[in-house]
Amino acid sequence: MNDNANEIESGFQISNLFQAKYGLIWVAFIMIGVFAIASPTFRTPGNLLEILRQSGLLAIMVIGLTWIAATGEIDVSYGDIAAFTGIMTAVFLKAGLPWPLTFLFAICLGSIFGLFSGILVVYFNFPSLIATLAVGSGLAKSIARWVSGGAVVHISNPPGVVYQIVYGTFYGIPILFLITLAIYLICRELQDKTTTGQHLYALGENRQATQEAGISERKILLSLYVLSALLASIAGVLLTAMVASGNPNIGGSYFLDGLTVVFLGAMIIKAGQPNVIGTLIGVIILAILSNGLTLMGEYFFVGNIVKGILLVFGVIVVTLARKRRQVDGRFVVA
Amino acid sequence: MNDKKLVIFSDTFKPITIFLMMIVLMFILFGFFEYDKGYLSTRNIRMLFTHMSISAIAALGLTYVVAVGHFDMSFYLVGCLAAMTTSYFNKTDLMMNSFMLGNIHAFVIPAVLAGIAVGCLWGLVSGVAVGIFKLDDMVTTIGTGFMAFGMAYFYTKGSFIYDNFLTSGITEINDAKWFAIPFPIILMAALYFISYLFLSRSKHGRCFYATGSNKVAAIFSGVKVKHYIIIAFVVCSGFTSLAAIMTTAAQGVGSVKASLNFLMPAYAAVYIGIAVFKKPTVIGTFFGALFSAIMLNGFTLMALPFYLSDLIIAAAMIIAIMASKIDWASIKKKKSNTAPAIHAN
Repeated sequence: MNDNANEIESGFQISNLFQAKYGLIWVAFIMIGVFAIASPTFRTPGNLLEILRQSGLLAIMVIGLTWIAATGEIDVSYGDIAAFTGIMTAVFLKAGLPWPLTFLFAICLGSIFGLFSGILVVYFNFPSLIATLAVGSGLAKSIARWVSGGAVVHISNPPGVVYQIVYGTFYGIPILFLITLAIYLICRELQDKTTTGQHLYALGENRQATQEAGISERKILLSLYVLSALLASIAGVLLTAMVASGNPNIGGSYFLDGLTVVFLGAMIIKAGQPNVIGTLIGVIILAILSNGLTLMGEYFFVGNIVKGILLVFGVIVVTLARKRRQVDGRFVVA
Repeated sequence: MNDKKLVIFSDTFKPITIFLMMIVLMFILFGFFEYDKGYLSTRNIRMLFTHMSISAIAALGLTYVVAVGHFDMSFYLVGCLAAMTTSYFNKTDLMMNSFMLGNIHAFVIPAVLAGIAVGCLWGLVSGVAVGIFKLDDMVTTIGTGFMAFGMAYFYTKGSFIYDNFLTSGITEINDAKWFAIPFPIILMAALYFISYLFLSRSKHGRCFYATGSNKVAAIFSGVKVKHYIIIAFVVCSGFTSLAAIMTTAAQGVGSVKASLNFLMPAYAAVYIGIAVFKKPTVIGTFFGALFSAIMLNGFTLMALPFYLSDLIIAAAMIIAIMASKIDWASIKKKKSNTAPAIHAN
């Protein structure tokens, strides 16, 4: 473990790239290669850029989940909160509200769910699964269905600026992906270069010890749940702009994807701990996989099975890494 | 001795009294508002229990998993696989010429057993992953669950199975009546009675709770922790598979989404039970399921749209758990000598 830490401090070396913790990146390259050979459509630049664009939404949605998972809790409400915000956006736009106000209201309303599940977890000691399940698939989804009458709400034309964000390109690269990349780089700085970022992993390692060191577990967890809902809400607004409609039932389709990318991402960079850069790579890998499988004519449920296997595989790696750290009794801060 | 009896009394009968009061209150409320719609009629009460039986059986399975201190996020997805397996075997004409048992073709029973067996197999997979390999329960079961859900699509690529449903007698699972009591209610009562004896009145039941409250202590006390975790997951998936097959029989069609809406009602029943009983018990789950069923039934008669059912159940669960936590903090300052809240994970 110690050697590992030293190696990182000594700077970049080519041989580092072949370590197990970068294995997933090689898997991504191999996948791209296989799909590119198998499907002529896959290897067109247009399709590859489309993969980047589509990965943006999920990537924004799961940043909160990544950090919540790093503290050892779980959040299963992000998809339903995104669906709720999407519905609210569509309904507000239809009612004739100007778009900046619409987005502000929708995102604020979405964040309230995060605040609520955070309060339930932190102040009422709910198991985080139960709290986020009740708030997400219980409250957020039902209220979204209530508001929309259970049906899809179509909007005629998404406002120009948001349309540009979702569909525009900058020198050929989708703007949505560039924004996502920027958010992730900021989050990486927050995670690795600030004390709060380190506190996340401290909480994940040992709750008791962290509390006794004087770190406010409640403040961190509460703000994480709010952050998760906030980012999910932003993703929901973008989703509505992308498909020009709000769908109350769309949350379920992000449920498995979100967890899979977080635990897939936990395999790399910080061996065995969820982290933002890993999540971003996980999102891209999943997008490649979905796109490739679709282009090769596989049914969508094959994707479900593959994602399930990847998720379990990710959990195995996380568990092994945690066990190894516990045996060593030392923490890897890298 | 007398004191001990008193403790046992207050432990089990006080929560039951709370529940009975709540339920009577609900009945009075709905009965008052909807007397003209026949809320208190025998027909509606029978319907209430028939509807309740399906989610109650799924919740009963989940009680086992929560009792060993774990979560299962796969049961509602495994149920879909089981329902499709049963529908598929029900469809095959292999034994179409088989003899009849009453109005049931003999091949229905193997079909149902096959469904439950497949469900139990997936429970075994989750159980081994969580119990022996010590993987994180929530995320692993989400993974295994979606694998099962994906496999449920393999039979028909997602389309419905209608074949043989009306002729094979599989609908008898839902329609049969013994002494004017619908078969689902009898099945529910039997499973709850057996589970009550097993979990609350036997040595093995104590081992489930020992595993749930402190694994290390349980291991040193000679409890085979791994076995109990695996059994809990298998029972959970098995019961949910049965419930999913009952749904299939009630709907008269094999659907890949047979049990997709079990998740919220099952967790709500278990956790409303925990909120009152302070630990996952069979009686608590029963009353939790009954409580949600009464509310849903009442609101359905009030013509509330179906998509609000999850909202009502989730709100009831949140309020129940919050109320129980407030009680702990302010009123009872003294340390409890009863079993600790083992679900606090």
